[in-house]
Amino acid sequence: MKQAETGKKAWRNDAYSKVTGQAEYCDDLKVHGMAHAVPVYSSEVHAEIISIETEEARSFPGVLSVITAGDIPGEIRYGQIYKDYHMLADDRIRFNGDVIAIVVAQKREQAVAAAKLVRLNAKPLPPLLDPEEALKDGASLVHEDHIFEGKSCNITNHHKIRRGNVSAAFKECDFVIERKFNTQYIEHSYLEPESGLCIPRYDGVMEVMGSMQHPFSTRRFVAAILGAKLSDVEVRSVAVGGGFGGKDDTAALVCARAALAAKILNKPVKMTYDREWSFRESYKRHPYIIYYKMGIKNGKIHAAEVKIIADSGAYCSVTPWVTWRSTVQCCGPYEVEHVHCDTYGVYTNNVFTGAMRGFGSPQLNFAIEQLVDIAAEKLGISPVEFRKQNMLRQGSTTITGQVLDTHTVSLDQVFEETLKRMDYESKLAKCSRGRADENSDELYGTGLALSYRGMSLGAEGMDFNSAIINVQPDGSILLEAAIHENGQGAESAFILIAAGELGTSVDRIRYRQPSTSNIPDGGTTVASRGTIMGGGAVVTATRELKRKLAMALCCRLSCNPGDIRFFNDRIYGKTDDVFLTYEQAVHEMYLQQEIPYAFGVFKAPKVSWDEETGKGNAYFTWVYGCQAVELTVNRKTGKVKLLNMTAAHEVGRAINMPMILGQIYGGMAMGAGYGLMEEVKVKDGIIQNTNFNTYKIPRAADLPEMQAIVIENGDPLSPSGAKGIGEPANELMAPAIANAVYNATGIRYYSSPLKITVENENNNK
Amino acid sequence: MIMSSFDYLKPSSLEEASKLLLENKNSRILAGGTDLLIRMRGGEVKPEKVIDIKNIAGLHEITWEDGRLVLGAAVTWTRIKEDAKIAEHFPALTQASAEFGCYDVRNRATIGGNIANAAPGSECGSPLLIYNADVIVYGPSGERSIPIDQVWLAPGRTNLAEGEFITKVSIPLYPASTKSAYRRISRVEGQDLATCAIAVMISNPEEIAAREVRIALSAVSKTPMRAAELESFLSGKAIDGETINFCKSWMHRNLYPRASSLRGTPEYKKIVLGNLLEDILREFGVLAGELI
Ligand SMILES: Cc1cc2nc3c(=O)[nH]c(=O)nc-3n(C[C@H](O)[C@H](O)[C@H](O)COP(=O)(O)OP(=O)(O)OC[C@H]3O[C@@H](n4cnc5c(N)ncnc54)[C@H](O)[C@@H]3O)c2cc1C
Repeated sequence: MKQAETGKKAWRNDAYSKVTGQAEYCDDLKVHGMAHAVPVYSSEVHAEIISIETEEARSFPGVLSVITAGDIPGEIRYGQIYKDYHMLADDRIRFNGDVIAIVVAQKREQAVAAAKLVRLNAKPLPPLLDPEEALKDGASLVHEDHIFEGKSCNITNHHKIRRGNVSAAFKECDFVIERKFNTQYIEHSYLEPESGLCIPRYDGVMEVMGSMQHPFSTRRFVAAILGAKLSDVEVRSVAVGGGFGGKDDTAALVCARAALAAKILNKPVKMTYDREWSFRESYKRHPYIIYYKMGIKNGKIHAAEVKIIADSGAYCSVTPWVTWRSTVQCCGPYEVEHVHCDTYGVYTNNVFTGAMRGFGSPQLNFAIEQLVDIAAEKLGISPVEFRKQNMLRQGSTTITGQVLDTHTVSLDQVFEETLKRMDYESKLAKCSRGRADENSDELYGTGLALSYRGMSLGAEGMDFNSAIINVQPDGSILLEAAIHENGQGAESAFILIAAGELGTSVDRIRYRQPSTSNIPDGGTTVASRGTIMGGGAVVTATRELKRKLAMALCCRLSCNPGDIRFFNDRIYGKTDDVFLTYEQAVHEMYLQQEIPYAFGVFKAPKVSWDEETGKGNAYFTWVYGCQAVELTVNRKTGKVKLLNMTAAHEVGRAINMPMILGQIYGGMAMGAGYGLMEEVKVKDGIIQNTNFNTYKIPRAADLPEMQAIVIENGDPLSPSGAKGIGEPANELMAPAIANAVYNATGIRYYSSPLKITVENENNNK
Repeated sequence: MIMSSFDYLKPSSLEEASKLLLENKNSRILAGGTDLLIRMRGGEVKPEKVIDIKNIAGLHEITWEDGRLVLGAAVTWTRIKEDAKIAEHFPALTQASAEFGCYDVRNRATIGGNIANAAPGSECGSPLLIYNADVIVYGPSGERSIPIDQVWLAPGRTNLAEGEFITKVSIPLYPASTKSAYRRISRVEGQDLATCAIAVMISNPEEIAAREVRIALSAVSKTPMRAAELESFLSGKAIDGETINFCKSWMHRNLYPRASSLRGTPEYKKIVLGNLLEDILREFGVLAGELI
């Protein structure tokens, strides 16, 4: 184990342009003759569409077209898993963010004004808003043609774990804790709302630029709506202002609708979303209802019975994948012998839900890490001790039967380092537990949470990635991997990895602006898989390039191919006085009619999963994290003041340290928002807070000092040694806060965000 | 994007501004714009003329005259926050300015705009109420003064007549022994409107019989309000645990905050305001004995 040096300098290929404001985001782009498209919503939540009247809008000055579902030449419905999303609503309104038409005008102002003139005639239907109601037999159907396990229902998926025998095991337990938890909708809050610019090109290709996290997913949506072949659509990357998992379905839909307009009008069309539209239409993090029963025997978590209901809203998006991770990780980083878990995704007429940083783990961690504290208290031992008795260690078996022996299981390391840095146990002893000092209204508490997290997609989907490295005649290098730069620094990480492998300076390597026509689809930039998968492909490609260079240059360098060394920005033979510069090397290769170009693929090692029993090697490797917090709660006002947040994460090998720290600090901040303030408020299916004046995320003034501990244990199954940090950093702070608030006030909150009550609230009527 | 088109006018005298207001029925005064532009963007108001008052001499001044502090309507919250003399005489106003918005908003937002905007939880509300401020308006019939407790009618509605606008706020000075304070609760530190707020002033704190207590509450009613009944209950009286408990139960019996607020439940506001009142009185050192 190595605790990494965190003081290293940052390096980013895009730092200068972003800091100086030169970077162009989609909405900055202007093309000659470009028209503007805007969406039209309705006031309905659930309704049968009778007709959509567009005449008045069409005759508004500047309006070029008003497009409805009937104008779609390709598929009306699309989706990542089920094709259930009506890209423009045709038969029904299924949630308040459904788009019934798009208005295209010469100016955006004209389109916005004309959008108000589109009229919907519809027959309102009672909305189905409660996921537990939606699960019942006889509930009305959100999608009448949806069939799950042979019957019409609202269930999108059902994942199971059947391990041991829980009912027998509970009988053996010393005690059993049963609790219900609820988590809320949250918005990703990316800085840049959705935007797409589509240009019908002279060669027949529809060129698409936009704010998205997965150009290939966007390409699929665009091709579907146009009825075009994938090769007829080229999605090019531009600077993206953040995603946090939120720039998939909706981002792709915005581009698809812009492409539809561009195709119909045969002119470039831009569609940029207002924050209000983005809040209204874009998918959110799933709210969960979690019924949890945990049985303790001899100080060990002996059995767990878990029922999870995830509100998928009107469309499925990636609910089956999100909830699969929740299922696999439903007991947290602990060894549990008997587990019975049923996880349902369910359609309702609420805003749809999908991928968000954490992807099904923040909800579960909120429950598990509180339950663990509750169990420890019942046992009369410290929550630290209880965790040590139960946590996964080298060679442990997970609840899905996976033996953790292919990498370093660093849970004890992250835990110990956090405890040490925080002086945690002595702080735990100082917690107020509901009793303030005489002279103070501030109640002090500290709390922590632990997790393990499967890296990349696991058995959720196909998992491989490719990279291209291409040395130019002057020795400069173009690099590209099929992972997208969303602002997180993926491109910089790949350049650093390639430069490390080749022994060159980073200045030699330029990242090629990606396009879906350059490189094969490498899957989406999610699941903290960017560095591990993209970096793996970069390593494979650079090693292949080095092999080619060595074969071609060994004669010139008077040695065997195996003797060739790459360092100091040059290519060396056996001794340091025999070398070629990259420019010379390329020249030599050209003479031999060899191309210094390599394509590399990294295929994720094999994983497995049995849908019926929930057994399998779910992920090929795992990361481990611990976060802790100190806070005070004012007993007179209920206000929480965060005093300190500390995190320890194991990341495999650290590639770009300041970026890792950025992910950890940002992850803790977002986690604090999840625990304390963020909540998309929905009333009768309509979102009440559609901008940041009423949807509150933490700002600098709300945040305390933060400390990050980075632990490096290079992973043998990751070619670059790196794993990931994006999501692990975001899945722990909310439960840590909930535990700290309990330790401060003596009150447990089972719903997020915590709505802290003040003394006498609820009993002073 | 602001969807409506409008003319931007920048008069340089009170007369001209008032004339423009009167001539153009659908016009709006622009000060810092931190409320107006947001409402224009949201399409809630669509003025044909926007009349910027920042070019009018005198509206930016902070003066001390005849035992009063006079703030020009276009004085920003930053200037209030940074003024040491205001902090000395009107700490509740300074405390409010520190809670107000965030750095960049304070640099633009004005006291006049805050009053005219007539929000139930406006930052100026409770402090100006306890200090018995007068709002000076200018209009077709010249200047007049409106006592602050008559300015607000309902959310977004003031007592200003057609063609009138706010030019100044005038606040009487109080003896040095007077104590005053403002406390607000909001969900987040970074920037939020008040969930609820309270301002308290107490004159002659040392002489119980001559004590006058003033209390104002924000974000619990259609407009910021004085709690007259509580004031007469507390004035001229020794304050102890029992008195405080009465105040707390008074909050429960007499306040009816809107249940639909995104910022806090009625129950929460009522309890917290009672707690904040207790807090302030304790800080003033006027609490006799310990609380039960
Ligand atoms: C991010 C943000 C945070 C905020 N935080 C707070 C906060 O913490 N507390 C708070 O109270 N408010 C807050 N506000 C609201 C707003 O900033 C204040 O109400 C501010 O004082 C308004 O002043 P202004 O000069 O910007 O008004 P403007 O927007 O220029 O005007 C507001 C309204 O008053 C009218 N008006 C302006 N001046 C006059 C005048 N002299 N006579 C007559 N009518 C006039 C305008 O026509 C308009 O209707 C916040 C706003 C934003 C955007």
